[in-house]
Amino acid sequence: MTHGPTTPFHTTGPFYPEPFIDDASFDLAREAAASTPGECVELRGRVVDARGHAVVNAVLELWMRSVPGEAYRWGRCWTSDTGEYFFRIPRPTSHDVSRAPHLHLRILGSGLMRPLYTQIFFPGDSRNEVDPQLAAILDPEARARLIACRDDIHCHAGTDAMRFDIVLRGAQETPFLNYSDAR
Amino acid sequence: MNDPKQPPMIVPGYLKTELRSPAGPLWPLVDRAALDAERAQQVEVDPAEYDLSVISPGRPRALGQLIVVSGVVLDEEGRPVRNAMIEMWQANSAGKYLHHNDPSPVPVDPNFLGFGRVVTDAYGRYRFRTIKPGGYAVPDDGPGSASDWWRPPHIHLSIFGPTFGSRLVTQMYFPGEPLNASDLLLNSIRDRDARLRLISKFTPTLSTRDGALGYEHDLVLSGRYQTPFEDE
Repeated sequence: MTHGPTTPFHTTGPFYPEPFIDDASFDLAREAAASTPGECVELRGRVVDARGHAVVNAVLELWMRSVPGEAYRWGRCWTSDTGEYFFRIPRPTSHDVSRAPHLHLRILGSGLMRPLYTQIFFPGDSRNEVDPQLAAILDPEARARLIACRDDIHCHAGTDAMRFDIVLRGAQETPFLNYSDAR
Repeated sequence: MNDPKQPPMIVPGYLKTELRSPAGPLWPLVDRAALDAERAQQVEVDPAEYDLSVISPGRPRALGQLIVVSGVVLDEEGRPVRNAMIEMWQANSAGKYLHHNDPSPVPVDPNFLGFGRVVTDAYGRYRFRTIKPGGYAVPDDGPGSASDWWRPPHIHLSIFGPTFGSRLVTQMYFPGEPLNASDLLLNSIRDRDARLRLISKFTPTLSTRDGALGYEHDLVLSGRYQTPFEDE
């Protein structure tokens, strides 16, 4: 870890301007959109606090590679008045044997003095069993919470769907990763 | 997590920090490649967004003291960061945000949206024009929340640097404001020098003849970024 005189973090507060996030930025599959069926995955979820209440106007920033070696795609969205978010992503076609396919997620919002980071894994992928990041989460119940759930209701022709709910604090707390000391 | 140069995750009196900060351990990150990766897709920013004091050309100016804020964005080694995108947002001169989540009874200014964006130039410099925001009382959030908390005038800044890991979200304060001494957020940072890095400097040489007072504010992103075209 370095100790340069970096500017301290602060919360976004509750008034992050929604116009900063343009209408297309939830869609990381823009180019893949009209291509082969099954190439797109819809990702939905709800962000809640320690009391199970919706976290409103949190900003979720998502980045990923769909193919090893390509530039990272990224997008962002904010949570609705019911704490819900929605992304569309290309299905990763990773042949990387060292990692299971995963998404990087950063959460900013009111009450978060620093961003929270986690990774989202795909349901039913056998590589989850050997992924070193999942293995680093020593609590098996917590580890399982990083794998999204199938979302059959929202699957439709050409598009899969999965659900990843985020609990910021509490018994079912989402495991978060230490991105700030990893320097 | 106990870095005295950063705010703690939980700030006593700011109830949302207690409800939203994870209680569990932060698990180690095994591979930081995705933090060091370049953020290749750029966001298009209209140069007119640098001026928050008018909604569009020809419209009346927002009420309040016109100001200019300027500075450089640097990396941890003091090198300028070019092409960094800065998003800023703030309350109007009376202390009201134009946002559906702001319950304050203070009036909206019909000529002030309160947000804009700029991109740093080849020397890492940025500049924007706005009006000085007002302070405001933070609504009482119930048991566990401070009942007499006022936010000092501040401008929110969100910076996208060259990599995913260089992201910064912070707030800029104004020098000499009496509310600075009691603000829960600013004073949650234990290190005095770190607190002072959040307070802009009144800089008369930046002031403009049309009535804008100048403030200088530099920002330092985490990481080290090789400037392209630089000789090693």
